[in-house]
Amino acid sequence: MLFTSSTFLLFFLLTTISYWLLPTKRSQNILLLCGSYLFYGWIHPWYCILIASSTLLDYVAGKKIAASSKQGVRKVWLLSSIAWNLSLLGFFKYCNFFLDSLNDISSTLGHSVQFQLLPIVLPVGISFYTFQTLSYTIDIYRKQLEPRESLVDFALFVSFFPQLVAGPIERARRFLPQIESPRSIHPEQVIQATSLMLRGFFKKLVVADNVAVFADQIFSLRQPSMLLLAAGTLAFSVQILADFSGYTDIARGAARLLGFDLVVNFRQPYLAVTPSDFWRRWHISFSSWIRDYVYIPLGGSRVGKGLPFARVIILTMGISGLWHGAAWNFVVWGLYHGALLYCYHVMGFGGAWRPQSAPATLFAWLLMCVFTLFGWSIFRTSSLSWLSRVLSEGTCIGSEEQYLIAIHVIVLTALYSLPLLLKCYIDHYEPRNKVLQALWDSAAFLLLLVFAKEASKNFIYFQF
Amino acid sequence: MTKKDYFFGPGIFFFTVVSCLALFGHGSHWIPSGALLDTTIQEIQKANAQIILIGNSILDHAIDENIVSEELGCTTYKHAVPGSASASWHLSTKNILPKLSQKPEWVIVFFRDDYLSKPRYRVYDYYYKKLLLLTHTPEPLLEQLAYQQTESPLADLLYRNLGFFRKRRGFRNSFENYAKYVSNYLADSNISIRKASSRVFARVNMDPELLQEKTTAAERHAEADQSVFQNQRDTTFLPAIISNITSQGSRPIFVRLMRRRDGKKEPQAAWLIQYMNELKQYLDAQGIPLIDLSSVPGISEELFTDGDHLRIPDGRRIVSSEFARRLLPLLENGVHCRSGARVYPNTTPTINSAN
Repeated sequence: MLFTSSTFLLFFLLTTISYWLLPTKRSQNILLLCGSYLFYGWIHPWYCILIASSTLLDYVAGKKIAASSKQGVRKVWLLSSIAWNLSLLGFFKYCNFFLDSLNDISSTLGHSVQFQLLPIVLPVGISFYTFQTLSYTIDIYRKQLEPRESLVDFALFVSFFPQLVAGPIERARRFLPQIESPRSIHPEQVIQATSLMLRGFFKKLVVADNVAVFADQIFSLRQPSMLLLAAGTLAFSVQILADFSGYTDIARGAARLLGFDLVVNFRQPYLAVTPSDFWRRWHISFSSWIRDYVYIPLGGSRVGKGLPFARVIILTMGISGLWHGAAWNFVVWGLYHGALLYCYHVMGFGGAWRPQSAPATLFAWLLMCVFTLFGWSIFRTSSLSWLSRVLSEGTCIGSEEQYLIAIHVIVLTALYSLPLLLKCYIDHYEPRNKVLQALWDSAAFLLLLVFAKEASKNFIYFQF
Repeated sequence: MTKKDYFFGPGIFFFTVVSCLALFGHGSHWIPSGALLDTTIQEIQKANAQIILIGNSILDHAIDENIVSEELGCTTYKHAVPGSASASWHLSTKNILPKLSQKPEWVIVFFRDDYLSKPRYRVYDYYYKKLLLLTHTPEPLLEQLAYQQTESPLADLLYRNLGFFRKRRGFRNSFENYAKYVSNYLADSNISIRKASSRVFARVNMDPELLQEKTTAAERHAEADQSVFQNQRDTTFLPAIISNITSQGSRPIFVRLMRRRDGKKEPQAAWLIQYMNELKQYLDAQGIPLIDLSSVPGISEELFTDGDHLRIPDGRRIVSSEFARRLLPLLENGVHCRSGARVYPNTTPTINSAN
């Protein structure tokens, strides 16, 4: 069930009304759990079996880890949980990627062995809920969390429909207490939530879907000029932010209408001045998960500044890239960001470093914009060989037509981004100005009526 | 925070939105003008047509009614509404035929692919306005098949009730034109963006692998979208079109027109072959002829100006003659053309099946 479909709106309306009519927290949780499975099973019924298996195993594993005082037993249960979850993820998401890569290597070495690719359909959201359930068992193992008695509450934590298919990735420590507490709703909450959902729909249907057209076309060209590639990448950078943060806004708004508070996932990532700053602003729930469960266990910044640190940071970001998609361009994108983080760190611009003067800030921001955009071109390309060919053989400006189209794409991307920039300005400088906020919401609603496409594209992060 | 504070923001929101929407009015969904209807009726009466050809611009490019009239010795009138599809053909047959004092002997409907059973195809925006020209009255069947029980009930509800929503294509065009103007100004170029776009994104400039992937995906999507004819026919205008014609004492014929891709030596899509077979069975059961012009000797890809439209006069002349040749035996069985028909030697008339 897509957030942008009429089916979802009807489903959400009925669920929300029934939810607030129910007298107890327990009955509300049961309704939400049923609704979440309906929401997920709507895409494909067998997805429910997968998520239920992960839920049951982690529920049992959590209890067993907490119940045992023997370190060996605790570790076995933790490893079982990790192995099961990563096996599911590995099979559904990465199996064909590895087989395909093996076939490529085999061909390169001149062998005739070719593995048949499997007809596997990637269950949407598996990368997100797998990380959520993993954090539960790991936190219990680390004695940072108590296992839950109620299977309903835990199952709801795993499958809560607003954030099930594309996050934000909630931590058990933060979200389970909300599930276990009674919820209330008041007018201000409703107003904020609907405004948030409206903003999400606007970002997705008006901005992301419309700029996606240019990015898709340019990245399908045989040999675009550098300028055209830059314009296409700019369009994609706006598309991916509007698409993903739009989804998050709808998820957070929907959750808020049900009395839950989901974690903030984006804080104006394109205002970042360093790579560390970027990852503190972009997909925050994911980057903090990777920091806590991959980067720090690998040694983090404690390993020093030299090669060991390079190994840790690049490995962490490589895993992060692979999480985004089963293709080499995502891995390279992750490694590229790892290399950026390392270089900035070595030069003393890592961590919480901020430029001290306005010109320095401007320079750092511009430089980071260039790095980010280049990263998105790696992320968006359908093959690394295409990108390397375009970069090595492409002309700078191209023909007059290419130049004109590049300018046109930049103009349209800027025009579609304008309302979002205005919203950032209002939120930053006039957060209490209800008139401006309401006028922006009205304009967004009217623009939504005009610019929403008849057939909306899927959310980009559904494929991850 | 007081209650007044709570509702201040939403109050401004609703006031602004409602005011803007009100500027464009509720706008009844259906404000028929019937302008095209009236002129068409007058022209058909004047021509005293024995055969009426109904279709869209593909018909307009493919068939020269003068050639057909000459070859058959019948008066033929061509009612080709550019961009029209089954909803338009339903309105044409329903609203034109009853008003004619002398009914035509044959009403021939030209279609491509599965247009006959796509009731929601081309009923919005520009096409919506075209439909309004073909009626003076409310059209319950059109309302039911084209604008209700659709994949996006919300969009349909808005379309029926908000003038603002129906004007959105116009707003989008204005926005895009403005952006084009700014782009031309910034690039200091006089080339039209449309022309530049068609050159830059020409098929020859696209990455062949990616293009193939996209084409395959689009075809897969299109195939998934095509339920075969048996599943569609009762929710389409086809039974109504037949009934509109037969109830006036005329006889229907359906003609499938060729497209550029039909000129290639590639097999047709499986769903389309099945679709045409089922359509033929359905029409055969009612004694209605189906002429398949998807393959016409002498017509190759070069005789098309684009994917659908034949070149005038070369392509049109060939297809018009072929159409008349295939139509002739049918007319001899049931129609008495006023000036007699020419008989073709050495031809065995056949009505092709889908493939």
